[in-house]
Amino acid sequence: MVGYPRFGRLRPVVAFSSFVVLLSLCSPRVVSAYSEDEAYARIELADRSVSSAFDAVLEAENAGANVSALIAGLNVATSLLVEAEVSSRNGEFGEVVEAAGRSVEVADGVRDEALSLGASALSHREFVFRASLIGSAVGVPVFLFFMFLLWRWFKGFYVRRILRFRPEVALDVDA
Amino acid sequence: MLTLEDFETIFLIVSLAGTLIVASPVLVLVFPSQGAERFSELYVLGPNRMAEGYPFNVRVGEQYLLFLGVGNHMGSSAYYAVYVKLRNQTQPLPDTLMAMPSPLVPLCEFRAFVADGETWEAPLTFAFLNVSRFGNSSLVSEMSINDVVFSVDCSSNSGYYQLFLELWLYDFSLQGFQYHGRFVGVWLNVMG
Repeated sequence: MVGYPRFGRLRPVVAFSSFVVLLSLCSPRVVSAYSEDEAYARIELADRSVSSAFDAVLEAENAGANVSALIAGLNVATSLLVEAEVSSRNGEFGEVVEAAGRSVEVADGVRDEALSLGASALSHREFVFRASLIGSAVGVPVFLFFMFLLWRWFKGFYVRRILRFRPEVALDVDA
Repeated sequence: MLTLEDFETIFLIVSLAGTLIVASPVLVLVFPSQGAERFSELYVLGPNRMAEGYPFNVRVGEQYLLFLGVGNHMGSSAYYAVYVKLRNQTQPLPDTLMAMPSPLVPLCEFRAFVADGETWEAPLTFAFLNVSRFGNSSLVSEMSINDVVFSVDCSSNSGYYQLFLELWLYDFSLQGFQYHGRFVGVWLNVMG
């Protein structure tokens, strides 16, 4: 016969489960304890973080970096920001703080990535610029010198060709 | 027959053109192209993601689907906000000549970053939740947009309302959004 375990054995499990249930019941109250002012401050902070991240993304883009992934990250940050604003309208300040906090995290991540991507794109751009400058600085004189030599050869060829012509008497010309 | 002077001119022209070609990589970097005209698109599509089948006769409590789209041709990535507003036939629309937005308070907003040459689309579901009727007149006091309920205070003598969207563009100098001179809307006949 299989016996059921006695309650005494389960006491630690029950106690732990009760603790978890109580914690989960209490935590929303703790989160919702945020004030309206604090929630608005978090939204402003998230707004500034998103703007700052966008500024960094634009700089990276101007430096020639591919910013598609960063734009996707910014869209995640801004959707969290809008979510926070909607929650603030509904007076759910705990959710405002949570969404705005996540928005700040994502935006800061995007900004850091944009800064490093922008720096590498800028150094690559400088390298390309220098290489192009050296290429042009060498290529233009070489090309012009080649054209000068070609012109001298052609001029000589042309003169020699003209001088080879002999005057001939045409019988059928009047006067 | 071409003379020596003619050949000299041809050589000079070829030399000049060749010099420009050889120097073009640097010239492109020093004098970047200004590109084409810069503008943004704002559009609304029907439930089949086409410019047809827009809802017109809408019933209270029923949900309707539209698609909102923004296209960026500004030459660089842009940060847009789209404000959703509701008006009756007498309330003001944005002023297209002065490029001023409608003074009506937005119900909600969408925000999107759009890369240059790309478009962004999002579904926009709406429902009129609380509409009071007084003869031919009606008063909308609650509606939902994308399942979020908003309080509204918009009355109409005819039952016609326009749900319209304004496009705003983020301006770094203002550290905020500025009306971008684009709006679209759909007229709705709110039925009982």
